[in-house]
Amino acid sequence: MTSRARMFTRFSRRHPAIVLGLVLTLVLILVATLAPVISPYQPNELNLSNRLSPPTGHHLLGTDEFGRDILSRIIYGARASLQVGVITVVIAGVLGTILGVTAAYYGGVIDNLIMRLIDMILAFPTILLALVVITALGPSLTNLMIAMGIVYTPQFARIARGSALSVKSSEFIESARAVGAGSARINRLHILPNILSPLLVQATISIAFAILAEAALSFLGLGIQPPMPSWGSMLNEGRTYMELSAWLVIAPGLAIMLTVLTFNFLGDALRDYLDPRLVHS
Amino acid sequence: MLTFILRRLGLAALSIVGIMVIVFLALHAIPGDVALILLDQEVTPELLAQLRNDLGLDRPLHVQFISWAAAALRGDLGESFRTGSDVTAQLVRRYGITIQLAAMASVLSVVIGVPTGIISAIKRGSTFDYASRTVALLGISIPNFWLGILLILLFSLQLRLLPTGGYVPPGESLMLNMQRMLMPSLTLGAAMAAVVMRMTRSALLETLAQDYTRTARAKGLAERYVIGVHALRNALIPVITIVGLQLGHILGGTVVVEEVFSLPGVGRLVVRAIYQRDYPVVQGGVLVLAASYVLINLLVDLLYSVIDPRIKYD
Repeated sequence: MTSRARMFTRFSRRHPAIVLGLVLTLVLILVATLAPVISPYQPNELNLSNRLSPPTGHHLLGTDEFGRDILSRIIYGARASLQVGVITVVIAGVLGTILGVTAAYYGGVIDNLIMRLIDMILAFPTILLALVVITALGPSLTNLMIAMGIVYTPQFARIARGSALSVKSSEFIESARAVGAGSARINRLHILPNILSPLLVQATISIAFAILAEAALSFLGLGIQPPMPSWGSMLNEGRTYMELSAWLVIAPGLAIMLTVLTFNFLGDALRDYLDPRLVHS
Repeated sequence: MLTFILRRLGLAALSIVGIMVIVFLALHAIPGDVALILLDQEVTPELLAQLRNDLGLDRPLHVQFISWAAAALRGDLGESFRTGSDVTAQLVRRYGITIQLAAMASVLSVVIGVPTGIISAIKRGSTFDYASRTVALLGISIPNFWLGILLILLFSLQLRLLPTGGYVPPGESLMLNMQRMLMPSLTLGAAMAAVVMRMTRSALLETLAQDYTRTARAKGLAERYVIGVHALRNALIPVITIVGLQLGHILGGTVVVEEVFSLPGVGRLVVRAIYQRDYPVVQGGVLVLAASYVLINLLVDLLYSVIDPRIKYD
C-alpha cells in the first residue's frame, strides 16, 4: 500500500463521515446516470386512472395528481439537481478562480476593481440575486444555471484571491519568474495547482447550496419548468393535495435533504482531509 | 472610532449604489421590449412608441438610471406596470410583515442556538452534545420550504393546532398574529439556529482552551463566572459575525417562506411580480430587501465595537 493510501485508510477510520459522504455521492451519481435503466416508469408517463395512489407494490412511493410514478420522478429529479449543482459550481468555480487569481497576481487597480465588483455582488442575499437574474433572462434550466453560477462566483473569487496571494510571495514563484516564465505560465502551472485544495472544498459545499437554491427556485416556479421533474417543483405541486396524500411532499423533500446532507458530509470530510494540520494529527 | 463608523457608512452607501446599478441594469437587459411584453399582443408602431415614451424607455440608459435612482432615493419607486398602483406604498404595507418574520426568526434562532451551543460545548461528548449536533446538521440540510410544509402537515392539517397560513396584523390581535407567525418564524430560523449552535459550540470550545480561561480557573473563580464572563464574551464575537451573515439568508429566505405560508410580505410580492413581469415592483422589492441586508450588516459591524473589548481599547 502506498503511503498516501495508508494515510487515507487511517484517516477514513478516524473520520467515517468521508466514507459515508463518498459512498452517498457515488450512489447519487449512479442513480442520476442510470435513471433510464433503474426507473420503473417514464417520469412523465400519465395514468389518470391511478391518480394520487398511496405507496403500493407497483408504485413504491405512490403517484401524483396525474398518476405519474413518484419514485421515477424522484430518480429523474436527481439528474436535474445534480446537473444544476455541478454546472453551477463549474461556472462559478471557473469564473471565480479567474477573477480571484487575476486580482491577486496583478494587484493594484485591477485587484481593486475586481474585488469591488465582488463586494457589490456579495451585498445581495443569494436568492435575491438569483431572482433578479432569472427575471432578466426568464425562467429555464439554462438560465437557472447561469443565474446561480453568477451568484456563487464571489465566494470562489475570494478564496482564490486569498490563496493566490499567499502562494504568490513564495520563493518558487520568484524562481519561475527568474527563469523567464510568463504570467500565464506562472498562473497556470505554479499558482493554480497550489490553490486547488480550498477551491475543491468550496466546490463541494457550494454544490449543496446550489442544489438547495435550485429546489427553492423550482418550488417558486422560477427554476426548472414542468413537465421536467425537479424535486422543488414536485414539492410545490404536491402541496395542494398533501392533506390526503402526504407522500407527495415527503419523498421529494427527503430527497433534497439527503442530497444536501451528502454534499455537506463530503465537504466537511474533504476539508479535514485536505487540511494538513488534521491529516497528520 | 468615528473614522471607523464613517468609513463603514461610506462603504454601506457604496454597496447600496452598487445594488441599484445591478438591479437596474439586470432588468433593463431583458431580451425583448418591455413595452411589447406589457401590451402582450400585436400593436401598432404608434401605440408602442407612445407607451415607450410614457414609460421613459426611449431615453438613453444612463438618463433612465439617474432619474430612477434619484426618484428611488426620494422614496419614489414608480408605479406597477400591471395595476398602476404606487410601488412604494405597496412595499411600505408589506415591509412590516417581512421584518416581523425576519426578526422573529432571528430571535428564535439565537434563543435556541446559543444556549444549545453552550450546553453542547460544556458537556462535550455527552449524549446531549451528539444529539444537538445531529439535529443541527439536519437543520442546515433541510430545505426551509420543506420544513414549512412538514410543520403545516403536522400542526395544521393533522393536529389542527395552528392555522396553515395567512396574516393578522398585531394591532388587530396580537394572539392571532403570533399564532400565524410562529410556524413561519420557526421555518425560517431553523437553519440559522443550527448554524448559531455550531458556531457557539466551536467558539466556546476554543475560548475554554485558552490561557486566560485557565488563568481564571486557577484564580479560583466559580465555573459559572469563568464561562459566563471570560469564555462566553470572547466566544460571542464570531457568533455575532455568523448571525450578521445569516441575516442575509434570513431576508432572502423570507421570499420562500412567505410563499409557503401565504404571508403577504415583500418577498411574496416580488415573486408574484416576477410571474407578471411587473418590473418596477421587482426592482423596488429587491432594492428594499437588499438595502435592508446592507444596513443590517452595517449595524452588526458597529455592534462589534461594543462587544469586542479589543476594539473598545483601541
